Amino acid sequence: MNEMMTLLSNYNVPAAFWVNIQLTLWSALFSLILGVILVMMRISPVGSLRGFATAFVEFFKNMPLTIIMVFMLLGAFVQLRFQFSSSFSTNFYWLAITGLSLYTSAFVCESLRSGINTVPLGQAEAARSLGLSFFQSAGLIILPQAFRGSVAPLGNTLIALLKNSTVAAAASVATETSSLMKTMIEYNASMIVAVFLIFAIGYVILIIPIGLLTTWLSNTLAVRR
Amino acid sequence: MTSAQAETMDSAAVSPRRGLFRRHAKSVEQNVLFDEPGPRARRRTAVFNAVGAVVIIAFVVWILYRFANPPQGENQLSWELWKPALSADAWVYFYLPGLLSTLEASVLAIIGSLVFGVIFGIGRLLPVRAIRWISSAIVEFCRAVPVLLFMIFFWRLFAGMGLNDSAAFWAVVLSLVLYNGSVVAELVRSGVGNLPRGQREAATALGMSPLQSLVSIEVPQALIAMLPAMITQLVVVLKDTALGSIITYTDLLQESRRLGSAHFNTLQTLCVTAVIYFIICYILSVVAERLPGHLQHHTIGVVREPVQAPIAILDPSNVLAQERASERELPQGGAEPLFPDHYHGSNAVVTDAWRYAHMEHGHDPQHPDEHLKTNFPESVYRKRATGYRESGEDDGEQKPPSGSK
Repeated sequence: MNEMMTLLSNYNVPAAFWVNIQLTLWSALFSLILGVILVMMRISPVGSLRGFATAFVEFFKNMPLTIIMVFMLLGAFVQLRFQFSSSFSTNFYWLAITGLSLYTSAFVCESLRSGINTVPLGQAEAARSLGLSFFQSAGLIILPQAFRGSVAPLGNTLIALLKNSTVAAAASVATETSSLMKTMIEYNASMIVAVFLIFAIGYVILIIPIGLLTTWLSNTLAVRR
Repeated sequence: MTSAQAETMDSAAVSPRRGLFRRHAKSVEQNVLFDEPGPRARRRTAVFNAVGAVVIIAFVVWILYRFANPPQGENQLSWELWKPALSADAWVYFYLPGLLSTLEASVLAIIGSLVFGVIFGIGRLLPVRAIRWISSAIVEFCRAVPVLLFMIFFWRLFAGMGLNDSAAFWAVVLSLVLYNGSVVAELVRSGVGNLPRGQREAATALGMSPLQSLVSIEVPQALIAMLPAMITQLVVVLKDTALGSIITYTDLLQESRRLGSAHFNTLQTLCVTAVIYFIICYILSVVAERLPGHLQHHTIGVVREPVQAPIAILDPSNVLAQERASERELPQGGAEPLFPDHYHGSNAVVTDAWRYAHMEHGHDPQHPDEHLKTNFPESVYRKRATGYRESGEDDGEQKPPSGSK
């Protein structure tokens, strides 16, 4: 316990967690937008868009996140010169967010697609018989209900995203938790267990409320049929 | 399995004649969002199709252009850079050894996580409260902590203990065992929970103890039912071994980075590596997707990959989500149902109120027809979950009507 207190006073652990939370929130926003676009493409009548979305999702679903992150750093930045900012740390930060968003959007798309299963056929039939177009029936009828039906898988995706944000270390984001943990272990090798427990407990504390909220929301928001 | 029970299973999942790699008959063509369009709609779709194709091709061309002309950089498409990434030497000295160590770690990790998962899955189902609590705590902890943190911790710990050469390897394996094992433990638990209660009742009638019944009757069936989900987990393991490259484990990714730094073509070697990872993972994913139909006649459990609750302790309510989501086929070109099609009621720790809660939840209990269908007293499903009870102790509970619910 004393060890933990010393460590906590010597290093700014909450700041590192804050970096991870920021990475998570930005990536959640972008991957949600991208995921909705992808799922719209996948349920659309247009064959070319459907094919592209399927290929995109399958590609990122079956790709290790680490390789995406390393690609963002060594491929996209070093060799293709993609740059968000001239400052290195800001640049790596946004490259990591790009990688996380691309990766997560595939899982958001799959979650939403399983949510679409919870919408009865009659809803779409009713929408069509009212004369709604594809965008109207998807945007007004199907997707809102699909969102309510896919809260649990989306919550799982969010939790996975928070945990995956530690992989930003592979894209040289040096201020986040896994990098800080590495540094702390290097300088305090005798207190390795305490260092690990600080970060592990930090993640448990962050993840349990998300889980509780997800479960509560999925029960509250589920459409009664 | 009687024919009546067979009918309650998803007929698509039961059909054993369907080839493992053949496409499912139900595809997007039957999409009600746009089925049977008229001539105008068909024209419009064709126009959108062409426009979409043009946009996608433009996007690909832009990416290739960027490869060819990065600002102040050299042409990344030139054969000079691709040749060392694809040469025989690269395969023999870098990719194949890397792939081998990736597979080595994956195989050890998946075996370890099966053992871990079965032990702690059973631990969470045993009638001894202390064992259940300890197992739950360990599983929850391992599920919540990022794998990378485990890896860094074990890596430094093992290195400190004097395991210099193989510290990274064992760190990768052990971290993956802890995380994926806890996921498998949840799979075992939900798999047992989705077996019909008669299985345990029959085992108890034969004089088996709860542990015997779990080990010899329920868990084996649950494992068959969970096999597709386990293969999906194998994909996760394979993908997560790439994290090992961060702690200097010489897996496929690390080897490709080494090769790339030798020839200044990391981009190209990463592309080759990505293709290798993708092919292996994609084949496994396809097998996991096609497998359920082939396994259904080996078990009375539900051969479907369940959605896991965000926190496993809260699993019971997740059963509700599964139940809700499973009620029909594939409307609007949605995904294959990720959920058990028919929840037979649980004989796992998920008992009591939760067992009937889907009656209350997914279906309006105030609806007049609802009381005709539910012929058990309301007090039964209002009662809160009190934890494990043996099925023999059930007081006056009747099985909810199976079938459409």
